[in-house]
Amino acid sequence: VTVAGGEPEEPEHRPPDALTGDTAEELYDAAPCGYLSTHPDGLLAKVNQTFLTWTGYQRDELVGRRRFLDLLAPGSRIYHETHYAPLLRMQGSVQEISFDLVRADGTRFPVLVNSRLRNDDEGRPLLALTTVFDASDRKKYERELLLARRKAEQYAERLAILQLAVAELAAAAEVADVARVIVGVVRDAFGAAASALWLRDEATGRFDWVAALGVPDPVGEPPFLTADAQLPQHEAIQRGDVVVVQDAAEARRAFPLVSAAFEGGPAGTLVLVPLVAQGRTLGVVASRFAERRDLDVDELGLLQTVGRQAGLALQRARLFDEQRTVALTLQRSLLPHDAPTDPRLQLATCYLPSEDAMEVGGDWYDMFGLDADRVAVVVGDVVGRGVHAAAAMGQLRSAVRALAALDGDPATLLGRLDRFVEGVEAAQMATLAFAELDLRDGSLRYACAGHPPPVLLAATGGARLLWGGRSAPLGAHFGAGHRSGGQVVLAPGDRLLLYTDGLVERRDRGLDVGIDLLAAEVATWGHAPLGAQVDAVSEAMLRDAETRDDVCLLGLSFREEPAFEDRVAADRQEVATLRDRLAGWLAQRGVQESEWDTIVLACSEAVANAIEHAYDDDAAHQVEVIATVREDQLLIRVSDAGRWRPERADGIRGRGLAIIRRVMDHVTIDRSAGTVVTMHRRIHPASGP
Amino acid sequence: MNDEIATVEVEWTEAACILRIAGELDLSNATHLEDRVRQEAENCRALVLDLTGLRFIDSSGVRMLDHLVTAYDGVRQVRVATTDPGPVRFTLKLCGFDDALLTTSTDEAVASLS
Repeated sequence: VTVAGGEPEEPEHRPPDALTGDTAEELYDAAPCGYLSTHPDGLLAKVNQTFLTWTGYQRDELVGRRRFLDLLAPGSRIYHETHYAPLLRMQGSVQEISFDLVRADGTRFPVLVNSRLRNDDEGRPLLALTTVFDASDRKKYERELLLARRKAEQYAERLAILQLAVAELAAAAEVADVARVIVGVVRDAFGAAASALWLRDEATGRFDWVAALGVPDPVGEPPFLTADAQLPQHEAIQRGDVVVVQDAAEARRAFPLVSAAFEGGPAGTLVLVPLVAQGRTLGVVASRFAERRDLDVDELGLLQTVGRQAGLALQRARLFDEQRTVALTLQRSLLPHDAPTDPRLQLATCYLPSEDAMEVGGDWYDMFGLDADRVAVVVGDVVGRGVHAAAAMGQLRSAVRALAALDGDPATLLGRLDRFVEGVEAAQMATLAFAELDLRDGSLRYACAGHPPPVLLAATGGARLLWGGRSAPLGAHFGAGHRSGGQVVLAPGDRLLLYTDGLVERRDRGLDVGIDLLAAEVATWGHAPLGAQVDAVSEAMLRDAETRDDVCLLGLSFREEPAFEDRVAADRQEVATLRDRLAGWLAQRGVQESEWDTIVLACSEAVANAIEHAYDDDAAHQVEVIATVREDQLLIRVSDAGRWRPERADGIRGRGLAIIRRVMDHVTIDRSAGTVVTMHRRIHPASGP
Repeated sequence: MNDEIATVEVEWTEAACILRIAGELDLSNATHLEDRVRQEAENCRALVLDLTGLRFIDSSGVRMLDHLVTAYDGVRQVRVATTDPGPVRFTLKLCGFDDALLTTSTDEAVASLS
């Protein structure tokens, strides 16, 4: 008798085995596999003791009474009928068929079965002889194998997510970014339904709720964690270790305060991961699974790792935020808040801190009165970045204010500043453009210490660069040794723009190209009111910059008439009042009364056009009207953000536009973003210019 | 309709229906005023639009006049009275409004009716 793969033989009454002394019958009954024989009708003819022991049946329950088929579980029965029986009949034998037997006590018993048909002399089936092998271990092994594989896959997947998270954490510059990554990773890597994050407030030591992901109320979300609360968050914070609240029962026992959260929704496992850096817990992530989740040692280890990585990222981000905030605050506090006010002067500034958080630099602008009729404007740039640069900038700014008050021209001032920076190392090599304007006659004296040239925009249009008065940066020893200044006279309506190099400097082009471009942009936006011009120029210059350094702009206009700036809702009823306001402004600007009607008519047509066509009478939108008078040039700009739609059959728009074109000298229509109708007209001031 | 920017008065004479529109005529009230005029002028022989009290007219107002003249073509005569020179006359001329229909007063307008 062979066992594995062997064919069962009908035990014969042979003499006892010479070696063991067992009879064949004893060997048959005690074999390590089950033996059974079945009649052609399926009824069991004979079974051995091993089979009976495995299945728990009595011999007389089976032999002659039950078929093998009857002992099979339903799924196996189907397989028996569709595969086993036909194969056996056709081939005479079958090997390693997997069946589930049903034991006497109803439990399943997985087996592997080999069968062979024994025929009589005429080839008719006499008996089917079957060996039965216990496959429960094998099944278990297969299951374990499958489980292990799935786990390995999960682990790999989770590692990939974690690696991604670590990369994201490394890239996250600010605390808010870190928080977002942290709450996401526990959910994505472990399949938690929801996560919430509390971070330590260094000032109070309290843990404040900062971020959540998933269902809104994962763990009751206390807005902050108080020290005496019996929350699992606390245990995680104190132990610096992952804490798991497996189910409602455990919550009731250990953390009664959170058990309510379990009673409410599905009783999913709660996991608390502390965010630890250098032995200090900076925060804690609470994650809630949709159902009970048994986390194994590996998973807990991974969570602990996540917590440490996040803790480090958090620490770094905090430091980063802190430094940036200090530098920005310092810089902001050093920018002037007391701009001189004089009807002969308009000022507009724009300060854009660097996009790179650690690159907060030493750019500054300043403007102050020298006496009742003279003002000074400065734009400068201290070498270096961060808090030191901002501090040096502050000192230099104060020095400029103090020294400019003394007698002397801008060149003299630069000489004095050279001596000042000898004692302030961080301010050495700073560049600046300084200008003082006499409001009585428009005379402007200026000097540039290693700084890009100011742009002068004439009221009549056309921008030029002030290349005079140039010398080396402050404290530079390579300079020619003397400071020089330049002088121009501003006409009423002229504008001056000072700026720092961040506005024009770009890696992919020369500084001169950038400066020329700036002059062109200044001219392009010359019609806009000063504040809008400064904003528009900075936007245009920085639009496609890859990274942005600190940028400062300071615009000044001399004796410029204020612009007309108005916004009306896209409502037909609004146009009449706009006409009144525009007519009033034209009167103030000294435009002859005979010209008001035509100017107002053109503007009214453009506004009506925007209301009717661009906005389809949707009063939620607005039409913007800007009008300026520079010298004898009137400019009106009507803009909307709506769509330009095909002209209607009745030609209304055509008639409106025709009116505009006939009463204005020059009309442009820009439809690149909404519609901007720009109208120019030479006017004849009622009173002389 | 913008009640505040235009007023309408109607006067019937033997020769014509005279409608005085004063104030401003723009896209906010042009459609409403056109309906009003058509209503008032339904049974008249001739229509005189007295715009001498009108301070402002835009292309919507011009379109309204154009609609009326077109609608009444061959049915009843239309005259438009405006001050000359004046902003309304200026705009109408700008839009190529038929000079033959323009007068400077209602009297002149009525007198010109055949």
